[in-house]
Amino acid sequence: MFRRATVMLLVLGLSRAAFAFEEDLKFVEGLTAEGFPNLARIVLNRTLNSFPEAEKSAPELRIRILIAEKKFEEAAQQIRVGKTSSIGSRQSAISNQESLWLFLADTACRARQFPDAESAYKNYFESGAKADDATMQAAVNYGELLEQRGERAMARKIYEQVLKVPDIGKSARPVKVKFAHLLIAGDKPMPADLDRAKKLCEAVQLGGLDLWFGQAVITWSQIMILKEEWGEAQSVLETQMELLKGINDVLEKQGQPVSLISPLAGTRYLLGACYEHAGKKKAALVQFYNVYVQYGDSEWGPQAQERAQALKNYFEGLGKTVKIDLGANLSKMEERAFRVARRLFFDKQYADAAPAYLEALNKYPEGDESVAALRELTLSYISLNDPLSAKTLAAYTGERFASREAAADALLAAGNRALDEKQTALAWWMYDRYFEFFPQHSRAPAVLYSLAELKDGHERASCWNRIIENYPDSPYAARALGRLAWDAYEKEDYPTAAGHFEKYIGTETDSQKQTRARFALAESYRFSSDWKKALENFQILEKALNRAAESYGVSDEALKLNRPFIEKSLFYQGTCLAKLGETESAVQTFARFIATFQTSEFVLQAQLAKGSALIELRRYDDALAAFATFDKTSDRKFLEPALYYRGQALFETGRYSESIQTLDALLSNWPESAFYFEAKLVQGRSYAANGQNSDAVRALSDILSFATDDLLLNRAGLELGRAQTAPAEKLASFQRVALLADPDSPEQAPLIAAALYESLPLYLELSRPQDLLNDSGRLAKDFPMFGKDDEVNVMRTTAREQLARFEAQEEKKP
Amino acid sequence: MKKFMILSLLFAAGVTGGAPFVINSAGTQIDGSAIQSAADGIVLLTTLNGQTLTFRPGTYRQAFADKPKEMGQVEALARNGDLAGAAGMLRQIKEQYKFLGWDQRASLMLARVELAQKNFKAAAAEYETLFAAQPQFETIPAERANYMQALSGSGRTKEAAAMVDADIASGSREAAARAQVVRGDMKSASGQYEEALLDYLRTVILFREQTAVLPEATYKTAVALKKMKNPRAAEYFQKVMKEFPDSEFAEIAKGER
Repeated sequence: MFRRATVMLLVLGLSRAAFAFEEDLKFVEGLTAEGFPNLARIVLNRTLNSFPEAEKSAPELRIRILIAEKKFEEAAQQIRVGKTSSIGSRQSAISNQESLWLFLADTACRARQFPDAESAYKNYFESGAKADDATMQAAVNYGELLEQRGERAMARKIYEQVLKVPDIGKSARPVKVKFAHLLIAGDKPMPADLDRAKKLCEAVQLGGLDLWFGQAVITWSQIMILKEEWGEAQSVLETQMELLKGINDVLEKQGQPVSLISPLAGTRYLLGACYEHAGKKKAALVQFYNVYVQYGDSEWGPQAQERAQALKNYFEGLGKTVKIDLGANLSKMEERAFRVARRLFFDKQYADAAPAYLEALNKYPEGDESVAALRELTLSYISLNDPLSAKTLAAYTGERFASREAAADALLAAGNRALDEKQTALAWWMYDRYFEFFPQHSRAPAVLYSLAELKDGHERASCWNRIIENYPDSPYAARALGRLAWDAYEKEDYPTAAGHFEKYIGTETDSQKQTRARFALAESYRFSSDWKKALENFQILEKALNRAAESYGVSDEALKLNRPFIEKSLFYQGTCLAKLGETESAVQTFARFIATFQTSEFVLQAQLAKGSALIELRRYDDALAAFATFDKTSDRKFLEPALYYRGQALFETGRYSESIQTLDALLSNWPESAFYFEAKLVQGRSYAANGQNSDAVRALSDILSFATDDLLLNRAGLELGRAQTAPAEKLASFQRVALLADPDSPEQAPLIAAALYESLPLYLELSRPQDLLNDSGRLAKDFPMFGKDDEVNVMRTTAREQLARFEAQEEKKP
Repeated sequence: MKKFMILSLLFAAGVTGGAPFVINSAGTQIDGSAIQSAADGIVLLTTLNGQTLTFRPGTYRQAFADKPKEMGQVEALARNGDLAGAAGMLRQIKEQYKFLGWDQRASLMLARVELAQKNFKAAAAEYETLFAAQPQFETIPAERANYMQALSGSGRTKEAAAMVDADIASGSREAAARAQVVRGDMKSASGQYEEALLDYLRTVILFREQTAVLPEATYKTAVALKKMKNPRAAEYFQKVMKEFPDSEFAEIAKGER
């Protein structure tokens, strides 16, 4: 008893479980069909978690979900995998591939993904065809796709295959109509095909009063016309008109788009053709006009419009007035004319799209759709790597439609596509046409700015210059100016950078960018040695940033960002002032900098600059105080100059031993120092001043032996003469300067004057009065402003006396 | 070939016959059997009943003589390739039939004959005289295109270019198509073969409705392609022969293949 109950419970439990997941799976299928693939996936996963045994049905549902998500390629792959899976593999076999292919094909068709749809229909029909409405509709859809691509033979094969299915019955009527239509299409249909099409149409007409009936009547009449049986065609069309009107009314009541699908469109059109053939032009015009007005959306609309227009022209040519307007529906017909081409284009079937576009463009060359079509056709040619045709189209678009915004966009799209396709030369050609035909287009500055980014060097700068020149009021002109300025700055072309920054700063509204630009402007002037303008800009920047720092609500971040600019601006102000010879101001500025930015990386540099400026001002004690900051622990780059300047200041303040010692520290530690010879010179002077003449001569002789700079050599030569003790040696040193220094050099000329002057007493001492007179004469002549005239005159008098004595002594000689 | 073109030009000018008539200032047509004009614009019409009516300038809208016999001579000279002779005869007709309709017809034909002889300056001058007297001729795309060629050939490139560009940008479809061919010629003459090709090709692929211009544009497309050593030249020569077998360009294309 217990055992039976347990078994019953198990069975009941299992049944309940099976029932539960089947319901859930149906729910998944329903959600997929309704277009909720995401929800379907969630429900499926939940079901599989609860009922792992439902996995058996999951692969098919997963594929359906993929299809609903329009992931057609992935779904097709899954169907193929499912079809080939064997028992025992991890992938469950799919038993129902046909219905999946059909679902995929229909969904892809609705989504206008025609290549996917075609491929799926092909797979579906390869596995056979069923005698149901779904298969017939699939045959119609597939056949239409094939016909649109011109694959008539393949379409015919499909129709034939479907019509061979046994017990097909009335379901086959749509296929029969399509097949009949196919059989009579083309330039010269075969008589046998016409007969077969006629039979198909008659069979459809016997099946009921519906759209297919109407279509069959139309095709049947076309067959009669092709057979030159105009009277028969006219008679049938006239007699069937009432029945077709009934179908039209039913469609209208159902809310169907009768202007698009009503069989009256084709019927009336063909009736018009029959009347025209019979010479009843007025009656024909009425029919054509009716089609145009009432069924302009149908496939018959454009032809009806053309024929009505031709008849209207005919009547007007006879001097009659025809009060009908054939332009009202033109745009719809035009749109339809481009539709096929456009579909091919969006399916990326460019080779097929191109002739379709040309056909439509020659029909509607300058309508509303034309520019869009020209754009798409140009893109097609670019994708087909046919630059000649692409150029032809683009030049035409730009020139002929220069007043249309869309034409400008078309050229831009062409340039873009050419770039995408790596056809760079063609892309630039397109952009050149764009600027040629649409120089004032709203996007022109932005486009030029973007193109500049794709170019290098001179070409890039040329684009920026064009923006500035042609679009001075555009925001891009400011950006281009900025780019030109920064570009020159990075290339260290500072005079050019300064010119661009000057213009750019006025146009820049972003305070941070303006700060950076002002600083770069000042730096450009500094690097160009234009100290005055550099100083002005550093001052402007410092003031502006200080003002900004004091303004209401300034953020900490802004203060942090601005601080380095204030710091550097102030430091370089000191540098510029020093260069401009405004040494006192330079000292004050460096002092202010040191006080304000005590932890700055420039503070030691500022101390050094301040100290050297103080030496220039001969404020040696203050200078020594400034150099006191530096000691052995200081960085060499600061310590080297500091030791030199300190040595100089100590010399100037008479602290010779300290000077010698300080300079020794520099010379012994860094014999390769840039200050070596200058330090030697000062040290030589200190030695001399300290009475250590031989040390002085040694130090100065080092300079004369190893230095190469003329000025330094002559300075050292003069100091050597002063340090030497033997009159002849001293005189030799002075004369070397007097004879070898460059009198045209403003720095060396005073050295010559000093050397000449300091030679004079030595001449007396060495009893060479004539040389004294000669050199004093040169001194007076070449350096009239030298001064010391009294001293010179006294020496000249003494020399003359000496000379007279020497002459008298000479005369006394036998 | 040249003869063929000239004859077609002459016939295109509309050489028609008919009795002389005067349309008076009230718009009434008065038919006659003979008509004469004087240099000062006075027209004498002999009516069908033998009466002579005198029309002073301002009293008639239009006077028209019957077809001058000299027109037949012009046609004969053109047929024989004597374009200079035809031009001389046309000048005579212009003088002789002043104010009688045929002066303007002769002027139009003379402009075309001068152009065919590459007397560009004379052709341009003749067109200018004609356009001044009959402004409607300046709106006819074929005559505009001829005038542009005359301007271009006589070195008045700027004037020609301005007209050509204006017609291409905003003229009628026919005017644009014709101007494109003229511009193509101008560019080709200055060695800009690709630019010329773009104009010819544009006409061929986008102006199919301009059947009067298509044979020439197609042929010139082929020639430009050939100059650029593009293998598609053969395709276009073939196209000229196949699609326009009756045109004079089909004849030249045969030799160019």
